[in-house]
Amino acid sequence: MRKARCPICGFDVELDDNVVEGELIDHDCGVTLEVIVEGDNLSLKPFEGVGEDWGE
Amino acid sequence: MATKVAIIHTAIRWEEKAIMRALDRYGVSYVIFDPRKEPIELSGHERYVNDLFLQRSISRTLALTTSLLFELMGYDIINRGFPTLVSQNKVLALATLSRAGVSVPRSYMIYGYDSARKAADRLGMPFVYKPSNGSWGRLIGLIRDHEDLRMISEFMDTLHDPFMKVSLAQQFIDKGDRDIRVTVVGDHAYAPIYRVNRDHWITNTARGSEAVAAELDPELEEISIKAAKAIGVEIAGIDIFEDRSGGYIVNEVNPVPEFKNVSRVTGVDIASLIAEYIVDRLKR
Repeated sequence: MRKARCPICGFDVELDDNVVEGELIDHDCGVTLEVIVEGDNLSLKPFEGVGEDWGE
Repeated sequence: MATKVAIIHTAIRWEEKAIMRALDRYGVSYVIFDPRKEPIELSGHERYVNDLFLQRSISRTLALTTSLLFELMGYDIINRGFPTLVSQNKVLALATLSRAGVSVPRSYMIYGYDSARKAADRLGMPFVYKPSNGSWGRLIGLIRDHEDLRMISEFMDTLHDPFMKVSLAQQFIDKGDRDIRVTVVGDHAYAPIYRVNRDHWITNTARGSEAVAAELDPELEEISIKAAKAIGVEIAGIDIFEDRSGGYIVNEVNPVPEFKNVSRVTGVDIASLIAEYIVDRLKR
């Protein structure tokens, strides 16, 4: 299990070992976070929300 | 080992993660490819995948463009470009389905007020007004009278993109408080759900409808597979109305279907079915 800090609430977020770039995480603080992978480093940013052309 | 599959995405949702886990279980190597993060070289000097792309972009623009592009570049892709184009465009999709003998709501392509008014005269009120290209039930309106029609037509006239003005006037189907979503993978239909909305006539789950497991009767199975085949999509979510006078009516064919709620309420592992289909597809 890996960890990264929630940029909104500041608490640690536990992530699967196989987490990937672009993965969406629903955090307990109510925010959806997007995983950023840079080399061996993981970070999180608030998911920017639904694009105007998003859908099925 | 050479990478066999590239999953095109613009966000890794529950569905994409489930497909990745299923491909792991089947021992299929894959990469994920986000066209917002990586440029695509057009003259063939860079190779992106050995065998197959799987289209899972939640951006409809990028799904359509990359499916068409990679196919034109000589790659194999699920779903292919032209079927993605037709299924994303409700006008083209309904005409294609109807020609194949699939029941669809009576519909007119409209462009501006004059054609909309004539379609209204032929359909009667109320009727459904929707853009030819949209999803999740957005921008769909129920036109109850000529004042509604005048207002929405004037709003549409203000749009700068002429493609957005290509719209659909459609018979309002009395479908009760629900429609049906059937997931098609290859030659099979799976795990129908009712999408129930007791508060609004639009029944997309993205609009808050409740998902409830339904039964796959032979007629529902047949029309779902027939709809997917007509459009040419290998993996699809088919939206179906139950006509109160009997029979099923196909409303939409979605080329990058979500299935989190489908799997949750039916227990059917759609991600594994997709992975199995990819394994079979790789053998061809």
